[in-house]
Amino acid sequence: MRDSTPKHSSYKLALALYFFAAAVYGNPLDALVAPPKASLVSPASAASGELLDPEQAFQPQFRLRSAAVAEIKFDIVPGYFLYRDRIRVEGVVVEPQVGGRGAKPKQGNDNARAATPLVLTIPPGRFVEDPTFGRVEIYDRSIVLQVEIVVPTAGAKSAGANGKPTAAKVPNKFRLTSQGCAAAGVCFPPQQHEFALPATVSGSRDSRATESGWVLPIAAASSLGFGRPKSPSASAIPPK
Amino acid sequence: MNSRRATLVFASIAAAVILLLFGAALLVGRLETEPSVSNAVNRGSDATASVVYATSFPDLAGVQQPIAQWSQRLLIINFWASWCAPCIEEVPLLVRMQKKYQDRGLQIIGIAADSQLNAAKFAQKLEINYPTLPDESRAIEFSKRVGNRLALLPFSIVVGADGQIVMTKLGVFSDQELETLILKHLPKR
Repeated sequence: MRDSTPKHSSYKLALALYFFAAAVYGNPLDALVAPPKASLVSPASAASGELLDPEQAFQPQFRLRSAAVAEIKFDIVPGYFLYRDRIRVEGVVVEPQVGGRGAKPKQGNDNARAATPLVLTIPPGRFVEDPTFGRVEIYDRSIVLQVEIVVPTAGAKSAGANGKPTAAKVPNKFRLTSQGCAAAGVCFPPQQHEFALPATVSGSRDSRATESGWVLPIAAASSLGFGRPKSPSASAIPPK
Repeated sequence: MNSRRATLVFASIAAAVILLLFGAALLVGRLETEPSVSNAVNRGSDATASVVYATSFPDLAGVQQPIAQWSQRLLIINFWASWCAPCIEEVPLLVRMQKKYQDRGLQIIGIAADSQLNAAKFAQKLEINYPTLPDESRAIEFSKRVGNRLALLPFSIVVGADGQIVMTKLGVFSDQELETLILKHLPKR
């Protein structure tokens, strides 16, 4: 009996300290049972700090394989995926300005032809059952697409205005569109990335350009009308 | 024994007093250095709610609908798109909540980052019973202005009938989470 007194005192002291701490800091058990407190930073919003920007999550890069074929690589971070059927690549040919000395790309499509879909060789993806879209094919690891960089002209197979067959053209830039999601349950809007072809390729198609490594896009934006253009200093082909 | 007991009692009291003083100091320091949650929310929400109420989006018929028309209600603005599978999965819950609580002051609206055609098609398919406001070029940008930093969907912002931002939510609401939120913030009658 005599030994129980100190124990009881300790319990009382511990209880008193617990209730005091709970009063000061809030009951730690509340976090387990209470509904979340209203806050601008919801649990999910807080989690957004852990989510990646689409350019980090998918990391598209480009390189030339030959004068006629380019490759586009997506380095897809685990936990993210792209829909296979939402990837497309278009070529944009900038026409020489009337009265100008040559092709000079402008902002927008001032002198650009409408973007033309390019022929893609795209590897098979992984089929998953999506509760909304059904059976869909996705990429959740790095992939490389092959792109034929020649843009067929409208009259390529027929005679041009002057009676001569018109030749296919090499675009000045690619426009890559893709759309994906995070496995955490959120999706990115369709993204557009532009890659500039070096003048040597779009002009004389100098095969030296094929020695270049992977390069980053020169511009990135959502196809829904917002985004961040890359720094103008971003080079399509890195210095050798 | 009495001496030992007295020592123990004294030590206990001394420890309790020290801890009380320490805790009180911490509490005072905490109050002085950190804004309370409610203050932080109110400060942010005043500006954000103004942005919300000042805008309008076109409905499926192309008629501009000012958001301010729902300012007296508990407003849940859900940003969604037809290309976003989680968004589509979340819609039936929103439909149920709108049906259940619309007479008690709840108003859900869906701002679609989509074409008018796609939004109309999905609104019909999903039997959406609240306003669908499609604006492919503005929806995401606007969601970023009200807190959707990474421009991801689905994203929701909840504005109380008192004009205060209750919360923003990236991702899908769970049934219980949303209903608890609604019940807590429905306008008082």
